[in-house]
Amino acid sequence: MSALQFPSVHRRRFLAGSATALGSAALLAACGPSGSGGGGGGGNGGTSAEAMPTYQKIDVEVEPDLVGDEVVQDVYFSYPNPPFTSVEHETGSGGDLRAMIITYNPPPTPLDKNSYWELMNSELGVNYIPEIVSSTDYEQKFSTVIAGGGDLPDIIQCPLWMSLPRMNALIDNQFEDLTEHLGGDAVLKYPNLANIPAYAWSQAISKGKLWGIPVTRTLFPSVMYIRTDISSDAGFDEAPKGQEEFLEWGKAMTDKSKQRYAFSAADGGWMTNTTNGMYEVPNAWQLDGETLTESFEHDSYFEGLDFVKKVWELGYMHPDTPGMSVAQQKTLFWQGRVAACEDGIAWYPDNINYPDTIMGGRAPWTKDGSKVHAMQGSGIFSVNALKRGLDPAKVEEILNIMDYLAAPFGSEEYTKIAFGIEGEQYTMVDGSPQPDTERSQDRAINLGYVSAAPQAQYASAPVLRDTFTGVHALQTDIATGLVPNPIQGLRSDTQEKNGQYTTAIEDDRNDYILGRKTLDELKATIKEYQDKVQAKIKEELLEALRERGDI
Amino acid sequence: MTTVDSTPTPASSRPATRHTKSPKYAPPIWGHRPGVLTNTLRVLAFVILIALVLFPFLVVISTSISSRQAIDAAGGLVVIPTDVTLEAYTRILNGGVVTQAVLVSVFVAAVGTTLSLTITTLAAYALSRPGTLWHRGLLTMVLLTFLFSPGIIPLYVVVRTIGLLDNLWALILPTCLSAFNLVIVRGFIQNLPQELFEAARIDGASEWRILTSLAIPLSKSVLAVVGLFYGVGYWNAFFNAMLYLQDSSKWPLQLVLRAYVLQGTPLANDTAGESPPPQQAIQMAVVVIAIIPVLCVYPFVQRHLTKGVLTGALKG
Repeated sequence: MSALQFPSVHRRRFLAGSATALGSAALLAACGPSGSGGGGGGGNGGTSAEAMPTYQKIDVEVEPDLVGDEVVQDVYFSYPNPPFTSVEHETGSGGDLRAMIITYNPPPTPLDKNSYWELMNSELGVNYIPEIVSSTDYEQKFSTVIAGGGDLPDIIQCPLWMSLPRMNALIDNQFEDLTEHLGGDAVLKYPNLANIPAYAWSQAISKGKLWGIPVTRTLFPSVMYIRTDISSDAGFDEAPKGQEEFLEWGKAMTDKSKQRYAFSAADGGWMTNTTNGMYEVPNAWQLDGETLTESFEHDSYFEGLDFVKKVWELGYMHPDTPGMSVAQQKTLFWQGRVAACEDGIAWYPDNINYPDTIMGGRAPWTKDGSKVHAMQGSGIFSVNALKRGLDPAKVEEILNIMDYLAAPFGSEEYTKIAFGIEGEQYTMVDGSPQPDTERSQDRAINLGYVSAAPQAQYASAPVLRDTFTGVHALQTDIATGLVPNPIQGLRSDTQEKNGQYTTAIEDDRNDYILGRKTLDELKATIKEYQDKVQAKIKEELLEALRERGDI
Repeated sequence: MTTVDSTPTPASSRPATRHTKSPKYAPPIWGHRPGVLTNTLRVLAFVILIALVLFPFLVVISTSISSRQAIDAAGGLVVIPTDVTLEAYTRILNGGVVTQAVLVSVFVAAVGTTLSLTITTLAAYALSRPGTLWHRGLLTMVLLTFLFSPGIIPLYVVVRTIGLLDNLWALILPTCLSAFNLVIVRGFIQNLPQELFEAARIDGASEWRILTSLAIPLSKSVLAVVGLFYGVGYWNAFFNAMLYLQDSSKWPLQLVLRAYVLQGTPLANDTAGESPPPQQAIQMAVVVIAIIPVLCVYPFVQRHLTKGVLTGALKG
């Protein structure tokens, strides 16, 4: 057994999972409006056929080692050699290209010392000027720049999970309508953009208008990561599935004399994906015919809360959980002081920094362990809009550039974008590009946030193969039970203006779990929200669902 | 019920003091020569206080020079470093981003402080002279800024309209004059002996000569303190830079360091090869780099601090 693996996933289950992987896109289509591939966005729950770009998966010359589909990610164990060419058209014709984009990194090396930036300017045919804003400041800057008027950047990144103001008005008045350029078969002119799945495009369509290009992510929610080494030492061969097993495992993992706890949660998350899965709670909203209900209008929501409360009261959760940050949680996990915690599906490669630690994953199983019930994510990081009023030729040029940046894994263009120049930003070791960590700031111009291909998983070292194989099997499991949010991609003005109710409900939920408030008090806060704004929100969302053709 | 023993203590039984010659003179409590126990307690108290102040510095410095394994073993914060490495500093100072940002910050702090001090001194002197043109109106305008803040978006619109977006002057001009500092300097100048000004006037000195030869030399302490306030303010400012600057090569040090503290996610953390330094070490290294300049300047201005601020504020 290698030091890096997901031993909770058995080979037989993995093979069975792989067999179902090819079918998960079809299952997803049946789940709701997130849609499947195929022409004209037919599987997109009735989104305007004219606006929905045709999906055409790129026929790559390099086969992945573990084949995914529209949902489960492809996994590569070796870097394609030689890389294939995915862009044959021209890119830019000179001039500046300004983009306001988010960053999670320190600022890039200045252009005059940055050969990667110079290479990209040359490849893109423009003078690329990123207006980089840190993620913590993005909402503030976005609001100010939009409200302050004046000349907007050519590309404006809209991370829709943030609280961005007046999005409906912006889409109507400030962003370019791209329907003519990308709707239907028009997108085929840009093969890499046509490789973006329909579920991602559906977030960029409002009232029949295609207003931006999505930056895709997986549809998977956060999963529960497990310290499999600690679990195995305690005699558990697999991650716990059913509720009883879960509690039994929690008891065995908690050892206060060693300051070790079974679970923790960060940023007020309270293992939501795990408990939502156990009690089959709707994914934020549920649509039955023409009736829209929120998750807390279902008994299962309160059953899930009671279960978390029970786990907390039993002392299986780390005592710092109420104010714990993600960084703290990660430190505790790697120290072995927390045996399981939830984090994003993209966290697992971090395992490479802790090669002596064995990391596993747990799908959100229902409480009897019979099936997976997972909260489907939006499938995008952001939608990137073009400012309104650009010359049509300039729009075409920018789309050519974004098509270049969406080059898929294994292509020559991807290698340049992701790694830079060989001998400067990376070196080839055993056929695999190894980035020079001291030059990593060269790549912080964040072109991956301007436009990107659907993500593939690349095990950059043999030691990572078992981990990636386990994650592929985990993704395959989760893909069988993804539950979509029926209003994903839709907006309610009333909801945007009344965020204080959501905050109050979340605060009361936390206080209820911690024993500071009663269930009646939580229900009273929910009722206040229902009495004051919920009816209006539902009305607006139902109208949006009708416009989209979902009902 | 308790009773109070009001019998006066004989002078001979009092502790020895420097004022024992006069039995009528009762020295204050701080006039007594402290005993061994008092001295011990005093030293102990100071040691505890100093330890309380220095301990966070020790943790910050120790964590900044520790390896990932040492930080993980210590639970996130290291007190005594065991596995010393300067990786975090190397990473931050590598690539020229921080060096460039230091130059920007030095420019903004130096030019901004000079400009702010000049404007504040000129305005404070003018507003301290009774009978200056529009004296009351101007003073009211300045004081109103205590009560009403213009808000982020109106300020952004002003900066955009005058063409300062993506320009370093946008970090200086909108915050050039602080009403608080103006009031302090004005109060200080008002409390200088007026006879000196009158004598100078009789000798034929112009207002400019009075300002440069009398008011400014006599106000050195308050100007040093206000200069420190302005300097530290410009050095620490990041919010305006975040709003007004588009080109990240123009970011001041604090905005760059903030990115390291809040973000700091290494780009290459999902690939094999050399692991980047841990985030905690980078964050603490950033704290060390950020406080060094202020620590260097503070001792030279500290002696003016009490005199300058209290005189200006209390007598103003």
